[in-house]
Amino acid sequence: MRAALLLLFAACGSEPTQPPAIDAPAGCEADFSGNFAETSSLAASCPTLANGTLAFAIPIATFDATLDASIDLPAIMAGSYSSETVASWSASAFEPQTNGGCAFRAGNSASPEGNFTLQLASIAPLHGSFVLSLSVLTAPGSSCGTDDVESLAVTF
Amino acid sequence: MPSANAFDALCLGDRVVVVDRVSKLAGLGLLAATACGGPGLAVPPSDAGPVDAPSAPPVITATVNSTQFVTREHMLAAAEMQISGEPLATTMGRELGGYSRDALPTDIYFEADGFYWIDLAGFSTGVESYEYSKQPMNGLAFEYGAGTSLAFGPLTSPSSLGAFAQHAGEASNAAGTWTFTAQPLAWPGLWPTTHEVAAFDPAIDPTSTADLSCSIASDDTPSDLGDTIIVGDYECDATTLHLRDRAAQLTPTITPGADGFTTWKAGLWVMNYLEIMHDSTGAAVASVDPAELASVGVPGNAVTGVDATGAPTAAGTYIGSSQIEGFQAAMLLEELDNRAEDWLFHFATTDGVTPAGFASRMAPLQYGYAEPLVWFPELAVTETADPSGFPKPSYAIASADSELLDLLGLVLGYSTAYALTDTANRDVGGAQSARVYFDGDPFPADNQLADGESTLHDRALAMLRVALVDLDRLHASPSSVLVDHVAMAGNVATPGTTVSTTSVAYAVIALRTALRALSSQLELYSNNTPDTAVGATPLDALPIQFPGDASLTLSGRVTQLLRAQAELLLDQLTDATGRAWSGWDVAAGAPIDQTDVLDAHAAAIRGLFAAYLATGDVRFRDRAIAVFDRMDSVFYDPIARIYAQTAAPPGDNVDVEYTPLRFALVQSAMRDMYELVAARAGGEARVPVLEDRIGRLDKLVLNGWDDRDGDKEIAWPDECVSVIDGLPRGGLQMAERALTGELGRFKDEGGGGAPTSDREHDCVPEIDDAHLPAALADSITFHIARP
Repeated sequence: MRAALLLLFAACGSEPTQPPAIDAPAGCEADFSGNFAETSSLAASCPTLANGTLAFAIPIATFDATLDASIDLPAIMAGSYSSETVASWSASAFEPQTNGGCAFRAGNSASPEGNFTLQLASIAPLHGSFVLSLSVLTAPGSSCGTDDVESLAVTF
Repeated sequence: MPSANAFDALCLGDRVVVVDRVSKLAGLGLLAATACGGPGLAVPPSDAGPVDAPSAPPVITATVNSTQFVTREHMLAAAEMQISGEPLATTMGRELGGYSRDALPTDIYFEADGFYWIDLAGFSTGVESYEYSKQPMNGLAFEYGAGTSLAFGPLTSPSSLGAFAQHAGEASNAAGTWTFTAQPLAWPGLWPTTHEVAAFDPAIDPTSTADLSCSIASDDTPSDLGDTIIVGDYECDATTLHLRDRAAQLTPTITPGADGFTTWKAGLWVMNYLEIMHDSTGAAVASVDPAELASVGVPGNAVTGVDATGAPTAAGTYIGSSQIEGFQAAMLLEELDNRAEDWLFHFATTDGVTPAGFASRMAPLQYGYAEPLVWFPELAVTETADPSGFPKPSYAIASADSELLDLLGLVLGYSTAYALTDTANRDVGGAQSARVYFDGDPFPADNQLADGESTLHDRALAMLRVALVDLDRLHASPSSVLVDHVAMAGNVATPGTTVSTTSVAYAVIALRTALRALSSQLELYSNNTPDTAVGATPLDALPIQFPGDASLTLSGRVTQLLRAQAELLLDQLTDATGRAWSGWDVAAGAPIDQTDVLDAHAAAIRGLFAAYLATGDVRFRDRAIAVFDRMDSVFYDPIARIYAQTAAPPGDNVDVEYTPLRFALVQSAMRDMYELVAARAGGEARVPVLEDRIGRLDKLVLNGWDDRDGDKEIAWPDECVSVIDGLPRGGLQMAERALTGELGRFKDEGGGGAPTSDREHDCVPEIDDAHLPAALADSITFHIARP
């Protein structure tokens, strides 16, 4: 969440950036559903792996933000992982444009925690799928929609 | 001057919590939109069309059918609401310190890093359900006068009660702050009871004044940082909380069930109060030097202890978790102890005509299957005026019949009471913070044997023994299935042939609780902790003389009974599809009817999960899940977002009635489903659904707030389901007070500000405006009108 907020403030005072085009060149497909829905296929949505941490920074065109997710893999190897098998993980995005804001959040230290499944088909290159469920947290005065759950499916 | 339509600024630490509903959240990261000046952007609805997000929601209004306070069912519900309160919020991952009862707007969860959000599930459990459950218990015990006076309890007199109350005030360090020597019972206006009447009209006329500078603090506080929060005078002086016209409002009967479930509720809360001691500054004390324990609670003592981290505490250590709670715990214990003494030695009958009681202190502890039947009847109360100011009661048998749920209430109540006195129960009766109450001052010490001492330890054991034996002797069919009603003619019992699924569920729960208490396993909020094997219990040394099996012990027989009710739930009252039936006819060997109703499902879930925890048999858990899934699919109206009592055709305008019992069943079914399934590996997908359901149930049914537009904010009073003469009237919860943020004044700092009738705009009015206590109605009907 702190990362999301920092990104948010970094954006303050500058012109809004142009949302990435939905039909960007083929990259990794990200499919959001639940509270809001959008589908994109962008290189920016592809994960990175460094020091055992798998990280995503997935652009969200709907409200010009990024969903950041990181998963500390218990082992740097292909396989099946989930929120039940990973000790440290987090995911967050912030929708800043309603009055107070809407936070999309999950992680082992978040409440509600949310959950994910990760299928890592290969490490080099990174291939697999990632399915994430986040909570939608409404700040007072905000209108964040009626669905409190956001789902994300990424194919990479 | 703030207006009724604006929200005032409150400080929470260095954070300004609220300015108003438009420009808010100054100083926090969530200020983003305002700071950036960005235009508002409505989040588009899901393409999938969220199940709970209708485009044209129905209009829900409500009618309170009866404000009557029906004690047995209300206290059953209150106990469930407590368990579904802070403990459930904690299971949901919330830090309880993240909630402020008084910050506006309401329902906010403040996270440690400064982030905060509207948390309906967390606030409604961690604050509202929990504290709503406490206030009617306090009302019965101390405020309403809705029972017989403790001044005439079997172990008390008007003068001795006054001395006891003053002493309890001193031992808890409440004296001079909350309790006063000039007051006959220490706390102004205190009206302590021995037995609660079965039902009463709860109308009261609380004062609207705030002249006493009454400020609830410490563990009881709505203030998070110790700043002065002035609340209504009735919080410090109970005089105006008495029933308006007591004699005319009471249904003057005493039942084992009303007393039993009241004892359960009080016992749960006393367990909480006796978890810690406190020092002269009000800080928690985890332990003291054992050699100094006897000095704890002595006025002016200099005992120092340590807190949970091992850090030393201030000089002066006192009983209970706070000044108020230490005092109230002593009074509650005195009440439930006197209650037991009456039932055992004055009310129990052998002929259904005369309330005579057992002849000796050992007799109830030795009571078994070979002795003449002795049982607990329903009593009529007649009162006469007394110079003490409290009416003096006399009792006569009103009905000798026996009700299963009544006995189950006694089992639950005195299991909890026993745990508080059982030093072998390491974290409850064995804790210093509990032992300090039962070391001879203020309550007599016990040798921990079932040997008939005049102590709560032995009275609680005796109550358990008689209730458990009688529910078997009177209510068990040849197949060991318990039936609800037993008609008594003289000492001849004629059992009925039916039992409701609700009773079966609570039989499993009560029998399990008894086994856990007797085997020193029962702890606060351990309801969803699996049981361990029961060894010998204090009552097993006393033979029960069970017909045909002289070696069978009481705990052995209780285990058999538990298993029989559990198997009934699994094999007969539910099926693999998750269908649940309303009850069982032991004579017909069939369900009592074919109705398909919510209560049966919710009760079955509650009972099946308890059976799973008691036996470790996963069949019960799996069946509970199946029943829950069917309950959700058949009875949950996804448009109105309410569980209906029957499967209503979608699209129809319907009425949905809630009672305290129905609410308790549904809430506890969801709680157990959350704690035992969703919170465990593989259950993650159920978490958001259950949190949504729980928050909605509490907010709609309890508070009477229909979040029609789904924005999680209260459009007041338009979204309140019951508005009379311009004032929202809550839902099943008829009114509220300081513990849930109804402070009586809009601006509370320093005691200023205009009076309010619904300060937080949560649809639940303050008690002085509702002229009703912070308690549940007996029945409310929600009218669902589709557009």
